[in-house]
Amino acid sequence: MIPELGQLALTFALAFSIILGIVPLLGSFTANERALLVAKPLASAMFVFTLIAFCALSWAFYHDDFTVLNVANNSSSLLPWYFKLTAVWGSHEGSMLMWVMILALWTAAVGFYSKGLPLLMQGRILGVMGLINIGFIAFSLFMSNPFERTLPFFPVEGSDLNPLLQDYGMIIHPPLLYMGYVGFAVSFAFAIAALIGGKFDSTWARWARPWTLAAWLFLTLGIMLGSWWAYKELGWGGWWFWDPVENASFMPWLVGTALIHSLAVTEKRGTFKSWTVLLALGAFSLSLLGAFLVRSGVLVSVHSFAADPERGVFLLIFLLIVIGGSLLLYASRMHSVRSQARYEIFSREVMLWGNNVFLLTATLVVLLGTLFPLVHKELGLGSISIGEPFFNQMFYYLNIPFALLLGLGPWVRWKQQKAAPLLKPMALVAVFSLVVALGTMAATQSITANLALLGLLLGAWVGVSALMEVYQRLQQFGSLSQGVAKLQASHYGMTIAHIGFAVMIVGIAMTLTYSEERDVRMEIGDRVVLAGYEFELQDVYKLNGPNYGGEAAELDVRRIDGTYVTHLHAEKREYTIQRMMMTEAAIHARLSRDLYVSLGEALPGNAWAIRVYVKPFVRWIWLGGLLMSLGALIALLDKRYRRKSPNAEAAHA
Amino acid sequence: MRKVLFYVPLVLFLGLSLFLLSGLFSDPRERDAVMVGKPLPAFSLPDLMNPAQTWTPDALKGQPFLLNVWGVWCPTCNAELGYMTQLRNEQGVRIIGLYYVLPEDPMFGQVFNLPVLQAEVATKLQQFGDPYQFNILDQQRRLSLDLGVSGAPEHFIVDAEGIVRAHHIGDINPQVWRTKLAAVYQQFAGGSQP
Amino acid sequence: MNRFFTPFLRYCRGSAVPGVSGSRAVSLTSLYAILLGLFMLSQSQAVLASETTATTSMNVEQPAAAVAAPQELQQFDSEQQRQLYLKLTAELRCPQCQNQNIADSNAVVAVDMREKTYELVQQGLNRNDVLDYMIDRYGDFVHYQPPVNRVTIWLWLAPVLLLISLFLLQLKRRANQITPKETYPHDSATQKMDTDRDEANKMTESKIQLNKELDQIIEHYRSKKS
Repeated sequence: MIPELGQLALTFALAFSIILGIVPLLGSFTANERALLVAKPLASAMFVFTLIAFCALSWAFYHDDFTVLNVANNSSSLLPWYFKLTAVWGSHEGSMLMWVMILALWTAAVGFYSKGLPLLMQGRILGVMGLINIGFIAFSLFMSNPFERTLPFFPVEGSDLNPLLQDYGMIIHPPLLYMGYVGFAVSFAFAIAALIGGKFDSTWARWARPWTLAAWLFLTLGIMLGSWWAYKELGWGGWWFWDPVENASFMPWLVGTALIHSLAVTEKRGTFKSWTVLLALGAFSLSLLGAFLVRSGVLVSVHSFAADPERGVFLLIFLLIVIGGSLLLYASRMHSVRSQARYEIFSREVMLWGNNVFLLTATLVVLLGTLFPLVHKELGLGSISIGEPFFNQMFYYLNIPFALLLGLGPWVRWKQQKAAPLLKPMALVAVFSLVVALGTMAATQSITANLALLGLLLGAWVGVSALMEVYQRLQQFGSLSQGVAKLQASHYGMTIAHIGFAVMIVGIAMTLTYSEERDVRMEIGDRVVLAGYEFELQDVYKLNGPNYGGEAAELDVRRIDGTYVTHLHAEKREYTIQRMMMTEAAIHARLSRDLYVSLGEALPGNAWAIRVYVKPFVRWIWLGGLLMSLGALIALLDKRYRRKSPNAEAAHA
Repeated sequence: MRKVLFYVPLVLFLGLSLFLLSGLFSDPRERDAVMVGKPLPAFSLPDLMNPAQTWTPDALKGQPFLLNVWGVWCPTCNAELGYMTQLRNEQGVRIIGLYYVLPEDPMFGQVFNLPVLQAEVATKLQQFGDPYQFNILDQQRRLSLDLGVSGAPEHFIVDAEGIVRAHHIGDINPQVWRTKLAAVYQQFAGGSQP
Repeated sequence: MNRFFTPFLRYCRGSAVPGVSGSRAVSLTSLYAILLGLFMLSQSQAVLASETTATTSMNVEQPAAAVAAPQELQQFDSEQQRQLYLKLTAELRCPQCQNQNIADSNAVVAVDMREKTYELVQQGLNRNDVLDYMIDRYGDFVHYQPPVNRVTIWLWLAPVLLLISLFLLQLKRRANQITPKETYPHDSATQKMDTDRDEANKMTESKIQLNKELDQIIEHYRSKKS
């Protein structure tokens, strides 16, 4: 009964989205105020009904209703209750419903927070969001119905949730990631509304900025949590594999980052308009492409859902309509728009352009690396694989000029910057970063390693530069304490995000250079020494979990001088229903390094294969990501985004 | 000129979607058959049922054959035994088995035991049909690695001179045989048996 | 209440620190900071207290012989061979799995390929020899770095071309902006933005303002003439 209610609610939501996609948009052309006013309540109603549908599915999972196919395939009565709830988005159908619900949530949020927008603009934006909603709700309802029944022959027990997904990281990772993906639909809708209206002034950019920032914030957190989850759950200490699914989330992130910077130019200087609109269309288009890649089975990935060409065709048609349509609209409308702002070659504008160029090139690298094997094969040239070696090589070379530019960028003024006044501070930054980088290398007594040194240098350059720039800016307000209060929140946000980037590249370079691993055969009482740590296997015993068996290992870690460091507990689980092996790695985390142990298979002679890793600075990678998203949050709180817009004032005057 | 520039993203996207469309209907895990055209790698392996007998590439030459990588642990392999037996009886296809032994897991007390394995194989062949002229035992999976085998079932068509002529990953069913393998086999079978 | 972010604003009133806008904002930020901290703590105890001697963690030389070391699953004659083995198993793709390298996969074929790689490295083969050995048997698919050929060369060329053309686009744009055909924007929004800018930029600001007005006068004059 409840699942049918959910399906009914979803059907209602589809009806609302269709009205939302038609009425306000038509109203915006006939200047029909009543048609425009209907947009906001429709958006809210659509959200409420998708939420009901989502709750209905959650109810079915919670109560082990195996008459629902999706529940039977992805849950079991042995699962703890919290994993029963996360199993809702553990399958293609359930995660699609969550995607729909989040899209409706963003739509309702735009309706709720858009009081400052002119009615015409609001109607168009919500209308476009409604159109996107139609596609996804219809896809959920007709192509991947999560409420499908197994009646009359239903199983008494479900086939369990994929053991990989039975982890705390999974509770929040997908919702955050989807908030990010789908959030770019708002920027997209803003761009389409502007294309329809033909007005691309700075006000438009200022409206779009907080929404873009919010989506980017969620996407950053989502990707970061995903990386952390893979690190701890897959059992081989990797934090990024350049898997198609990871790439699918990385591409919108890169374009979204470019968009944030380009929006700044459009808002402050009224230029880069056509470029900004293209990026706004691009960020969401790449989110859609990502959804297609994950759900259609065109690529091989560790994380993708079961392949189904029929779904793929539906999604591809949807992509063609949404992306193709928007790019056509873009091409036909945008060529007549010209920005006239003047700026010199050495100016903030050009610096931000440089940022965009590198981010876009990086996006192309990821796109090519992800899709080229497909193209290569379809051209009849055979199968190839593209992975870590290629991406690492490309990102290595892209990162150097990008980081150098990033250190310089915030110092440069809009319109025109004379080189002379910057020589002194930049020289100072360079000296400081040299000292920091070489000092770190010396303090850690590490061997000369090019990658680590380069990472430290670039990280220090970006970090030191960001700090000094804020300091210099604060001083310009007279006294430092006055400056602290006067400086805009968005400026603090930018600085923190840039420092986050610095922290991340230091983490990546150090981990790549200094990580060590050993694959050893250990009996109880054996000790292995790695990177100055001694791991002693103390005990291995049988495990008895609710839905898994397996073995657990207990280890003690000491320094070579004998001081006790920590105790580690690693597990190797065998999930009984899905008959799948899972390693639960033991991790001891410090800012300077992680100790990571995973238990392997039993070997003849009462011994076990054990993999031991020491990963210096690996935590900095996620810390960097957290700082970036913290920067976005602080920038979001800038009061500038909550001020009356000139247009809205005019509209109500 | 400027106007044209704005159509570039649209054109690029449409081009990409053509590839995406064709990609929907092909298997992304398909690999190239790099062994085709190469002679069988050198090996010297015992017969599964009669370990005293040793097989080398030279011993297999003289007549084209279908080399089938399989194991009783693999349900798909068992399922295709019936159709392959039919191929042997109706079309006279010479089929040789390459028995792919899974590594033993001491955690579950598994040890390699040839008599037990022989008994299991005999039961399966009785149950589903026996298409094989004989089976080669590849306990260390060395020959399989040299042949580029990634699992079971896989199939090779080898001609009378011992040159690999086709490599098929996955099971053989009437459709696969008709569309992919029959022509190759007949071509080389026809050559050697006019 | 005609504001963009009304609910946020409600919290931000009476803010003592206009820059970070209000106590609610501060508490939101600190909540975030706490979550950040919790995340870092999630695996063990306090993390931010970095260890007293972080130095050894990166010390590559190690007195492995000092303790009765257990048998390594793969024993190497030299550190170079170990590094080569680790690098190769990370670069070779498991032909049977979804998308994993052979180091991380426990599929039978991945285990066999690992063993073979170890054997070949032990025999003293170099990186390319081992890669060729695997590619001969499993095709280009098995290596995560694609071969360079007429088609794959675009993997490297296309990004370079994009980089160059985007910079050229900007140069062209800047070349265009000097042509007198164009006017400086003077819609109300941009002007309002202009007044909004950092005080620090005031000097150059006024200079450019002057330029802008000059441009307008020139433009006006030209349009009258034609």
